Parts: sequence; structure tokens; C-alpha cells
Amino acid sequence: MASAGSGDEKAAAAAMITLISSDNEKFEVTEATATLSQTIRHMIEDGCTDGGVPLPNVTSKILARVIEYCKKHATAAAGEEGSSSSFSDAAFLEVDRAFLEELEEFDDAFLEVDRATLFDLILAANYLDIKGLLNLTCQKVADSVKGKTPEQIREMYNIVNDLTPEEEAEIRRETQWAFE
Amino acid sequence: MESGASSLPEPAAPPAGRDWSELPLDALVQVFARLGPVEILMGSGLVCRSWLQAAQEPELWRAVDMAEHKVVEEMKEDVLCKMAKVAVERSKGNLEVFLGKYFVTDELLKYIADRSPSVKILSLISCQEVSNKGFTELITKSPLLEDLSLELCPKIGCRNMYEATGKACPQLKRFSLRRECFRFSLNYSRRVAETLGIAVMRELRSLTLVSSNITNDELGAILDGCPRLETLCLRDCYKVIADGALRAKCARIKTLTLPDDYERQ
Repeated sequence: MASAGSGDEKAAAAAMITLISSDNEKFEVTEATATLSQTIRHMIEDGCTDGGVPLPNVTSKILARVIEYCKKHATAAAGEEGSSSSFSDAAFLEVDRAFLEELEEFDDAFLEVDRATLFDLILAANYLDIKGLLNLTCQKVADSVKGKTPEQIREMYNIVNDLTPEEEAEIRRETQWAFE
Repeated sequence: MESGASSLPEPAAPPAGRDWSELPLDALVQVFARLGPVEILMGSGLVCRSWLQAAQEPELWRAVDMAEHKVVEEMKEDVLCKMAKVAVERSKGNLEVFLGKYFVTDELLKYIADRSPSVKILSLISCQEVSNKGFTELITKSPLLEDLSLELCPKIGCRNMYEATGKACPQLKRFSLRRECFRFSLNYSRRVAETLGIAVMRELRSLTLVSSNITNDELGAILDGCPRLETLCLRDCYKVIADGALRAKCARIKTLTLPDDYERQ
């Protein structure tokens, strides 16, 4: 994966950004892909991306997935922009719908991950400030806890109840219904 | 927490599980924002300390929708009232949207009124217990109200009350009133010309009346009193005759639904 930055690539290098994972792997991505992250967008605006963007909180495994997501969504966004001028309204709507369907399928498949990966993706989306990815992953968690009791949720996500007896008593007073 | 035993060079295999109590606050708030008040108060918001902290973020409680969740149909009314109060409490005065069903009481509306100066959207459905007194208490303390929906609330209504609403809520833009079917109404006599009070709601853009006993004259008064009205929907209002004079009066309404002729037969 490490890119050597050969002569041929230099031409496109202006629009390319290098992201460096916590385990020091380098990923070359287009600016359009990278700027789905607000965090990186701000770094580009401030001109601090020369020599690559170190992301000490994101492993190569997760960064690869995040980039996969951003590439797909950046392409979709670019496709939509391009099509709006060259198609009639009806054709545009058709293309638009196809894009959205494809994107939805991609998102569904993208979320087919184990809980640990989902957790890491949320952390990365939060840290890199990628709104779409944060929405997507948080929706998955929300759907999974819907209709569940606190104990069921603890079991599902391996969470230890760290509330002190005093706090618990306080909550019970406030939210008696959950214990009735 | 691990002690000693580090002489073996364990390859850095990441731990299989993640500690979900360490999810960042922002992300947890994003999760809770997709769950609604009943889910948070009964489940996810009680899991552990960090989740409880996230569940107490005021921004989650700007909109309290307690009309949708299926639990609302199954739980006791006093329990639901308690939940609504906790929800209002957690909004820390920022409540903007409240949607309630049959469990709502005058006392709950007063509780909301005393703590929520910024209510913009209010919807009450099948609230048998709520009286004009309790409703007025809230409405007079909700100067920012923009959207009001009253559906099958038999004790709320009368001309004075709508007038009071129009005066107390100068920004009211949408009003929807659904009366119980006329034949089953026990309080009909009190309702004489009640819709005339709507004419005081000067900023109204959208008005929906279902099963109201409004007449052509009263509707005319509303059209005169609400110059910005652009959406008007009347359904099952048997006293309204959609004649030429009325249609002419409604010419400026962009989206108009009048009772059909055969609807009245």
C-alpha cells in the first residue's frame, strides 16, 4: 500500500493527499475524497498537509475502510454534480435515483462488520468529522438497542454497569418506570 | 491494570472486544438522537455512567415526541406523565417540540409551561383530561409557538380560548383542529361559533379543520382576519357549503380543500 510517489504520479500529486495511519501505512487519496472529512478539509485549508497527514488515532485497517467509504461517496457527489447539467430533468432524476439506490446498497454492505470494527469506525468518523459515516454507524447502533432493556444492552455490548449504588438509587427515583 | 508478566513479547493483537462505555459523548448523542425519549428513558440512557451522561445532554430533549412510540399505548398514564416531566427537566428550558397523547394532563401542561419558554410546536392527540384552563396556562407562556395541532381533545376549545391563543402566540403559522365526529360530541352546545376565535390568529399560513361545525360566515371571518392564509383544508365540516361566493372568497388560497358536495349527504 505504501506509495513511492514515482515521477508519473507527480502530475496528479497536486490534488492528492497522503494519509498516514497509526501503524505508519500511507494512503494516497484525491482531495475530493479526503475532504469528506471536515478535520482534513480544515488542515488542507490551513495548508498543513505537505508531507502527509498523520492520523495517530486510526489504524490502517480502519483507515482503509474509511477511505473506501469516502471514495464511494465522493464519486457519487461528483457524479450528481456532473449529471445535473447534461441530462434532461427526467433523465437526471433517473440517474439520481440509480445513484441513491447504489449508494444505499453500498452503505448496507459497508455496515456488515463485527461490533469491534463498528466501534472503531465510529471513533474514526467522529475524530475525522465525517458526517455521513457518523450518521450511518450511529444509526446502526441505535437500531440495535431499540426496544432493549438496559441489561440487554449491557450484555449485547459488553458494558459493565459502573453506576454506584447511590447513583442507581437516584436514577431509580427519577426513572422508576424502567424497574417496575 | 495488567501487572508484571510483560516479559513475553505479545504481538500487539488488539483486544477482541471494545469498551462501548468509552464511545465519545458526541457519538453517543448521535445514537440517542435517533431513539426518542421513551427509548432513552427506559433503555439506552440507563446502561452505565457515560451513557447516562450522554442521555442528559439538553440538545437531545429539544424535541420530545411521546405520541409515536408503541409503549405509549401500553403504559400507565401516570408513568408516562412522569417520563414527560423528566424529558422536560432534561431539556433545561430548551424544549421546542412536544407531542403528547392521551396521558397528558393539565398538571403536565403547567409543568411544561413553567419550564419551557421556547415551545414552537405543540401537538395533543386524544387528550381527554386536558381542559381549557390547563391548555391556556401553557399557551399564554408560549409566545414563540408556530405550530399547533389539537386532535380529538374534547375539553379544549371555545371562541375565547382560540382568541387567547391568537393573542398569546403572535407567531402562530399553522393550526390544525380535529373535532370528534359531530354525532358523538357531548359538548356541542359550548362550541357555538368557536372557530370565530381563529380569526385572531393573524399570521396563520395554514389551517386545517376536521369535523368542525364551522359555517360559511365564520370561515369568511377567518379569511378576513388571516390575510396570510395560503393553505386551507376543511374535511367533514358539514355546515360549510362550497358555493360560488365562498370559492370566490377563497381565490387567494394556494392549496384549498373544501368539503365535497356529496360528502354532506
